[in-house]
Amino acid sequence: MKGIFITIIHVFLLMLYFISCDKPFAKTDKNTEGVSQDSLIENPSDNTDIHNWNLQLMAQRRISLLEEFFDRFNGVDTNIISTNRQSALASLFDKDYKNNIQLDSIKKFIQEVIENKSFLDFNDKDWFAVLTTKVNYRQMDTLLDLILKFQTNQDSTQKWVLVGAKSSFLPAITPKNNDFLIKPNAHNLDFYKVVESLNELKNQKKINSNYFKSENLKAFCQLLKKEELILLDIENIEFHFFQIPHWHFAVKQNNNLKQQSGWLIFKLNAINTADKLHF
Amino acid sequence: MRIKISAAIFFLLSSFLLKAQPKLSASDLAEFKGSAEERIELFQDYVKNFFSKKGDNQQRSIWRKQAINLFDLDAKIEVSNKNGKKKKYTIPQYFDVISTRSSRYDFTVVHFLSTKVSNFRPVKKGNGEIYYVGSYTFIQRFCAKKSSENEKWDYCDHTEKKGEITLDKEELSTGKQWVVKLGDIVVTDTYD
Repeated sequence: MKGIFITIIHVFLLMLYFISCDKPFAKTDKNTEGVSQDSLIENPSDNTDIHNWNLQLMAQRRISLLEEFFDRFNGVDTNIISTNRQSALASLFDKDYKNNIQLDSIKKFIQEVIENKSFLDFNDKDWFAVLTTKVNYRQMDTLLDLILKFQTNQDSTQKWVLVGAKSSFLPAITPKNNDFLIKPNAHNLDFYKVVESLNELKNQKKINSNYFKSENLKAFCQLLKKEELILLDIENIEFHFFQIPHWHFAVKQNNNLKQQSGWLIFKLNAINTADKLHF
Repeated sequence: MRIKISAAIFFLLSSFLLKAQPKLSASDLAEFKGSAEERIELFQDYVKNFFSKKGDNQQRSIWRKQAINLFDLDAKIEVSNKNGKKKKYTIPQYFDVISTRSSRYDFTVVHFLSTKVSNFRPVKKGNGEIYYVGSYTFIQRFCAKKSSENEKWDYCDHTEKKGEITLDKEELSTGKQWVVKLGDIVVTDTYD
């Protein structure tokens, strides 16, 4: 009896082993057919001084993905050695902007974030992307800010949505929900398709000014449709955060590869609720 | 009767929720992220091989074909130089461009610094089906020597690139399967 029981256990463990080895979905790597993987690996003799380990380290520390900024803010970034949240938060401030942000404000901000156990989440309501775009408005080159918000739908699918366009020739932005789908990975790709897809609105019959709920975006859409407004290029991308009570901070990319680079805080302001609504 | 109506409502609601919810679990998505990392690494290996002029014409043709298969059909790769000029190429064109670029020098090497891959995020298609998108970044260091006997590099630049990844169902010989494909690659900046 005992022998049968042990055999069943062995068969069961063997089955578990085979199940764990079996991949749930086939990976279609026909690409490597007939080629030894070894032949694709760089020959170690190629390791000339191009392997600059200092650069490698700086690149590793760089906050390249916006998600890494969130992780470091929340104290869960695996790319930094220090697990101390205070030093992780301090490392998020761009030293190139040290003249714009007072050290006392940084200390107070970090202290409050730690004491209040504040964390950032992509699903938070109070953060926005601001894309400063170069546009041609009635034959004149000028700038226009596009305000985008990250949205998670009830079915858990995600997207960036256009919530407003800010320029002297457009009505003020009103806080109404609008819907214009921008893929939820666009923030890590510098929103490179936004200009193209907004300019394409003129050819889309389904999307007219009634598609947008706010007067601001209705006017913006009409100008695009009439080709009185053409988006040319994205000049600057910033993310503005209002989740931390009494604070507003903004993040943009510092591209120079040095000890500290990538998505970093360049603006920090103590604010009240009225300031927050004004934004 | 009331029980029957409640059961019907529960059934309809649960079937709606099941249909609307993303199809893949967190562990499935983590596995596909691994698959995406493998594809990115393979692509980078092909680029390294082209830049370092490895393989004969036949071998390079195979690598080129295999690299193309890693990408969406309409994917484009943006290239740039230190003057800030940017240009987009299809994947086959891109491999021609890097072959030409490397042929201008006696010795060229490309090295990829710090490739970081994001998690997949679910997106709804127009027909209600769900697919997933992700992204990755890397810094490409290109160095070249006019003569391999030169001690120092004659030219070096760094290009920060960002790429798109999609995870979608595709009809294969084995039926409908989730497949990871690389999409467009854009340049953020090029510097010394």
